[in-house]
Amino acid sequence: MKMLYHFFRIIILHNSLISQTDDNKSKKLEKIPKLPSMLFVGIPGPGLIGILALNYVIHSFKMDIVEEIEHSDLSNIIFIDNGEIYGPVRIYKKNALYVVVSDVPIDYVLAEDFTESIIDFSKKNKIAVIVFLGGINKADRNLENLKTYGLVTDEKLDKVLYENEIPKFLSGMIAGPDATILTKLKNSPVPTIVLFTECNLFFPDPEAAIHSINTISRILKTEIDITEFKKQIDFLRLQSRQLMEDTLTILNPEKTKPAIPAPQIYK
Amino acid sequence: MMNMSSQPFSQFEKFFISLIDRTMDDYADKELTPLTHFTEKDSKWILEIDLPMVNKDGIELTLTDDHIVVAAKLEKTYCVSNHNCITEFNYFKKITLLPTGIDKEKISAKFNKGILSIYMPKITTGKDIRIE
Repeated sequence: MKMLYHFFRIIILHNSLISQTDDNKSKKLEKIPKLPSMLFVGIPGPGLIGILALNYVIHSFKMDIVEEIEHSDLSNIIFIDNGEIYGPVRIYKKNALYVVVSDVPIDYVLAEDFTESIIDFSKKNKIAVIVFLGGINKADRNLENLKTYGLVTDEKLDKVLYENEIPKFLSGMIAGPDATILTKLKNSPVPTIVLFTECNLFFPDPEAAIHSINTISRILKTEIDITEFKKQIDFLRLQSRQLMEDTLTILNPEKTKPAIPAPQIYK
Repeated sequence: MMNMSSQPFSQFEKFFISLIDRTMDDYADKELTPLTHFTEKDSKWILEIDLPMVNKDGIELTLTDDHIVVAAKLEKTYCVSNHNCITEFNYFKKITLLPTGIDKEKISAKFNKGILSIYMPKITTGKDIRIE
């Protein structure tokens, strides 16, 4: 149990406060087929792909908040909904499906502690696979032909990519907090799939997030109806401007500093 | 035109409002601030401005001495509820300082899928330098 309380502290919430969801009908979505327990992770990153996609998954499956991940460096922000206080990093659950979303960017310093907490949570809850969602910049992206690429930390998971027609991320570079998180996950005992969807790096990209949702749907072998998401695309772009701005500041901290020419030796 | 304020927020909208709304907008003048991004290419600067819920006819682009001003009318009123107070926004506005060394006469713009791209070619003519 102590393992859970690194620098990030995981708080277990009471079920009573927790249902964030619509009381409306959610058709076939309520049933998630029996699969090994999976933990999907989304943090603000390029195009906000991970959190746009996973917030919709949480909404569609009517998932419940079960825990929060706390950190002293994140204690200066809370969210209030229906009179309840929520931290920015929350864990949701439905059957064997878990989702972690962060509504604040995770910077380079926090990334390591954040990942430790995710790994500890996974061990405690016997998570079979962690699935990390993110975006990769695609200049002049063609919406008709966007791709989601996959990486795995355990070759047994190659089969998941193959069965779900997810092309493998064969070469390239990943920088920023994502790289720190993936390095930790790579060295963890919990097998991980990483899904990167082509997107606009600088603006929230719900259209690219749809590809990510469709990929999640295939992996879970469950239909996720994206009709409602499609109707909200403009709204989501408007709504998440500040989060995108904050995320870019984290991804590119130099942007906010005055430009100082690098010494000649480094050019 | 549908005024969103006349409708209750849908559950999904509420969900996102509660989770990720923050303020980068001008509440006094009721103007939204769009996201922007500058890219420097060899021959030009490209300023991209994200303008969701806007159509091309609603955009005004003005060049001043050293700034470019973008004002864009939203197709729907966008309402932000904060501390039980609802503010209605109908416009985006952004005033951006122009990079130096551009040919202002050749600035052009394109609007595609909610993103306004402004192309600012660099001045490439000038005094010849003799190579020894």
